Amino acid sequence: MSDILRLEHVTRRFGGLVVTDDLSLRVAVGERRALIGPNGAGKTTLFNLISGVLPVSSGQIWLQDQNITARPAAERAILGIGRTFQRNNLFAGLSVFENVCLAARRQQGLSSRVFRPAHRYAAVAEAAQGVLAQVGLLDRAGSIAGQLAYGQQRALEIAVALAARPRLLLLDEPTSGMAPAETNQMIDLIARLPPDLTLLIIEHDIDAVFRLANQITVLSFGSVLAEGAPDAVRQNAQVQEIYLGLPLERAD
Amino acid sequence: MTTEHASSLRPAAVLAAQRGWWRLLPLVALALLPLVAPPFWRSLTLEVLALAIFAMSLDVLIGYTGLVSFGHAAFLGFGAYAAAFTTERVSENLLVVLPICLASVALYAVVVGFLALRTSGISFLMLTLAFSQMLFGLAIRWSRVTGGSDGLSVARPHIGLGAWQVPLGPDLDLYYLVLAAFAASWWLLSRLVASPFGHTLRGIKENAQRMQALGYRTRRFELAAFVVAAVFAGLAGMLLAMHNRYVSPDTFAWTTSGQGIIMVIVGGAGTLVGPILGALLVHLLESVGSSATESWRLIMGVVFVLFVLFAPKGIIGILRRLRRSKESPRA
Ligand SMILES: Nc1ncnc2c1ncn2[C@@H]1O[C@H](COP(=O)(O)OP(=O)(O)OP(=O)(O)O)[C@@H](O)[C@H]1O
Ligand SMILES: [Mg+2]
Repeated sequence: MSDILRLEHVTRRFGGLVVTDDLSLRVAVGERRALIGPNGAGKTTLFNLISGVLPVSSGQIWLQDQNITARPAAERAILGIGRTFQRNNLFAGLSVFENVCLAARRQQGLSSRVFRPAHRYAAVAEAAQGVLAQVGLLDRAGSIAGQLAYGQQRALEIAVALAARPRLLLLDEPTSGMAPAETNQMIDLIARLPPDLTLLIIEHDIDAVFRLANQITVLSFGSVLAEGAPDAVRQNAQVQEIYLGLPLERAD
Repeated sequence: MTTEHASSLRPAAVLAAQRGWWRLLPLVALALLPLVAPPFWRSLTLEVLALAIFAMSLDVLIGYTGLVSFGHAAFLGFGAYAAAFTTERVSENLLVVLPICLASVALYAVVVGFLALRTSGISFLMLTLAFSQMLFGLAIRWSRVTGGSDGLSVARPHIGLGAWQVPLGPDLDLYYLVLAAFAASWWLLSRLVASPFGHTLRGIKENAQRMQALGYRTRRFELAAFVVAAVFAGLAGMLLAMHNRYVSPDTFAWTTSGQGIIMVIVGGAGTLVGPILGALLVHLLESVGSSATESWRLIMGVVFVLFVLFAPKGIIGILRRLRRSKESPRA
């Protein structure tokens, strides 16, 4: 299978601090790749580099056959990279509906139209409703995003990203801070995403990792410590050492 | 019982309200105003209408895009000077003057916007201020062209299309020109902010970073908004210059930009209608207040501070709150 994403010797420094250290990575189309590692390992930074929020210090990033290393974030999104944020990063003052409409409108190439009122574009509304139904927020469509409960904001975070119809979706701790029941719903939602959508998921909840991922990459100090199928990674002694105290060995 | 009475009145009123015809009522009143109001009030109303165009245009930046420009007077003044140059050197035909004024303001705004939008927040505010101060300086120093601090006189235009000639000399004609320009600006800008483009601007104001992550090249949209706002400000400047038959460097003064901001905030940013009311309040305070008391600036300052502290959503915010509290007991 062909790779959708390829990182080649990517390094990112903040002053003297090397946060991403000569990291190379390949992700195949349709893969569900979990990215795990201790706090501060550089997982979010890696997402920022892939999505273009931060430039690399050196190295290259390829999306299929395109070198996107120097492309700004907006262009990468247009090319099909979507992401969610570790901390909710919504349009807090706008309605839930408008949050997803902004994404759908851009995806449909309508965002600079100036004549008809925005709400008259039926295809946008349809797409938005579809995504809200998918994440279970359809009944909150009229609410102000910033006034939703935390877990619902987390779900909206994903809905906004999905409404832009990405090919590669980066999910930064989608279940963080959620109640157990909500976590389960979220994992089900992610598991049901279409198989041709490639997922890269940062997740601390090890149960979630093993339920969702078919490949795992373990990061430590900005470089890849281990990589492979879930079972192989679980057996890895170094990984167990890093995760000492974490329930990596599930009690089943 | 009152409900029954009200519902019998409903169909016609509701229909009109749904179609938004009631919005035309203020315009009808404004069209009739010169028939009853003495020249002083007509002239004052004209100024309010022109300043309302200016305030609405600034609202596109502040209230919709989240760009606080402290140099919007640059475009008001640019439009005014462009009107002076064009009527003096090219033509007094409005059909020539108008496109030249608007196009030259747009061109200038592309340059200023391109440079100023490389920054944001306070730096953007300072840069826009710097650009307007630059024009202020230029208008005073380059006196051979600009007339220096004496300013320039501006001819009243006419509308000419072949044999069809309409002079706009009398004050009354100009009043209707400004009213038409105000109505057109209101309509166009209302369409604009309700359109996908307008929603894009609101998204940028809320969260530019997320917009970029969704594939919006936010800088381009900001520049487009900046130019649109400048063009409408330029229109206002052109009209004011024609009304006054005169333009002076004071148009570029930072106090004009500051008053624009006050109009937007006091009226209610991000509402378009609010800044119209803001323009009315500020200009009334200035023209009526300044003849009654020396301390009108102080009064305006106090009014502004009170709004920022107690009604940050402006007059429109207060009206909405009143309407909600009137509706909720019934519900
Ligand atoms: N913009 C920045 N400037 C300076 N240092 C930064 C910046 N962003 C991240 N870092 C540093 O880089 C390191 C990695 O941060 P990052 O957020 O990528 O970790 P993470 O693996 O996502 O951690 P967590 O699990 O806590 O989310 C941290 O030490 C952090 O302080
Ligand atoms: Mg992180």
